[in-house]
Amino acid sequence: MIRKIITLMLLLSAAPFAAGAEESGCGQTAKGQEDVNVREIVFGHIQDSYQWHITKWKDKDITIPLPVILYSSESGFSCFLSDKIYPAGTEYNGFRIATAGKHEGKIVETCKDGSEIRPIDISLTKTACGIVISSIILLAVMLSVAHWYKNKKADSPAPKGFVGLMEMFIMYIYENVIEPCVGQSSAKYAPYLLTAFFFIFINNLLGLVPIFPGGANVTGNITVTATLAVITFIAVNVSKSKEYWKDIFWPDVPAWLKVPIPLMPAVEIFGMFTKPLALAIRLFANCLAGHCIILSLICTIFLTLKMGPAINSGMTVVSVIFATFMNLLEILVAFIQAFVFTLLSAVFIGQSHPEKHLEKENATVENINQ
Amino acid sequence: MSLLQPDSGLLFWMLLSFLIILALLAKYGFPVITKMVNQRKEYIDKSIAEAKKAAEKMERLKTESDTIIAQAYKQQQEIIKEGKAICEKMIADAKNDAYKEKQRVIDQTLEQIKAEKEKALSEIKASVLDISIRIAEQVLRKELESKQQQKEYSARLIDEILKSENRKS
Repeated sequence: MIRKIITLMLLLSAAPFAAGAEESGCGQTAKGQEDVNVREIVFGHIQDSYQWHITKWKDKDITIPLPVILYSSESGFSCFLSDKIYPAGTEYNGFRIATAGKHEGKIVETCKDGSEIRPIDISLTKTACGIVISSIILLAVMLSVAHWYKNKKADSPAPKGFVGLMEMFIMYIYENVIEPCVGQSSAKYAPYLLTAFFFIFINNLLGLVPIFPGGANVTGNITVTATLAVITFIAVNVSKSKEYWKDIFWPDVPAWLKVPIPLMPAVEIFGMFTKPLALAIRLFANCLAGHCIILSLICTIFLTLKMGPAINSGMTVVSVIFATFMNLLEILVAFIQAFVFTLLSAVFIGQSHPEKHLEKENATVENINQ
Repeated sequence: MSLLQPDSGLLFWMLLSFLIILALLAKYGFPVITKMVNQRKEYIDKSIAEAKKAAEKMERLKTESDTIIAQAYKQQQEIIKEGKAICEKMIADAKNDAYKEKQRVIDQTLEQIKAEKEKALSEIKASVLDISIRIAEQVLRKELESKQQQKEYSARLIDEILKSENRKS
């Protein structure tokens, strides 16, 4: 095993020499393009886009065009594939991707009078497409697993193989996160919490796959995490008992903290909003950071290309080792972030039921922190 | 920078997809699985409890049967012992009876023999007496054929009687 790894590293370190030799043989083609813009590469990968970039082959971008769906008061509905407006700036039916200004990177419409407006844009972008793909996978997996349970009785033997794995996974989250935190109303909130967990988890995993169905930075997108956090916010605050609202507006603290200045109620109301905000930012930042680190490490290989074959070879090995390590770490993070989001959502939902046993929740949180 | 700027189009797709998943999985997905697993758990718990109960019952039945077997063994032993005693007694009784019977038969026989013997003896006596009387008759007849002899004999008889009278007095 170790010998194999060493051989692989030697091959990797030899690759830049070969590349260098080929380049000199070809006669210094496009020397200017060698300036690697790391910022552009990294942001290009983690930002949303109207096309799904796969690779660059001999100065040509290989991309999957995605549908653009627009509505504007000017021209009504328009729907076309995104390859018509690429490279950025190409105009098609009055639409183009803004290269600068307020709407940089977004589609804008040029009106007849020459002004630019931003139409209502529900294009199936890379991230949206990633969401749809992962949703289909998630639905297929979960419904096929659930299908197994059809016509099964309580005394049927337990499932084996994939269904058994998924059952173990689901019940792990259900029994160790949802039940201890939410308590009696577990059955009511479990579908949302489990859906959120598996949605985040599968998107995190797909985000680590470098080519097509994967690679979309879904959970590292603030819109996605904010949506999830808002749903958690709704689950925490909607249809709650009188005690919950009493705890917010008239908590059990000395009276001078409540009147004349409603200090504690203000803190509590502030807390209502900071909890989901923290959820959204935590998930977004963690997943984004993982993508950024891996991309940066890979870019290091190309950055050092100009520094000569020796340094480049060394850096290639180091980068690959680090990127492999980061990828493994990200697989762990993919689970941890999904777990933490679900756990915190469950804790917030559990806390909004004042009759629930707080000790048990604290015990669980402590266990997880350890 | 658009990294921190939520996008309405993406929000639309995200909400749409997530709500569809949530609706489908909340109806056909997770509750089915968790319900079934909980049912299975209950079933297993129940089965374990039942098995425990059955084992306890078995244990109880076993001890019961053990005591029954032990009792039966004891009883059997007693019966055997009793039977043996009865048997011995019967043998002894039989022996005793046989001995008594034998004794009785022997006694009877002896008595019979005695009686027979006496009878025979008395018969012999009678015939001997008869014979001796006849012999004596013959002898006397022969001896007392002459008068002289008769006188002498009578005189001797008188003497003898007198002598015996004298001796008496």
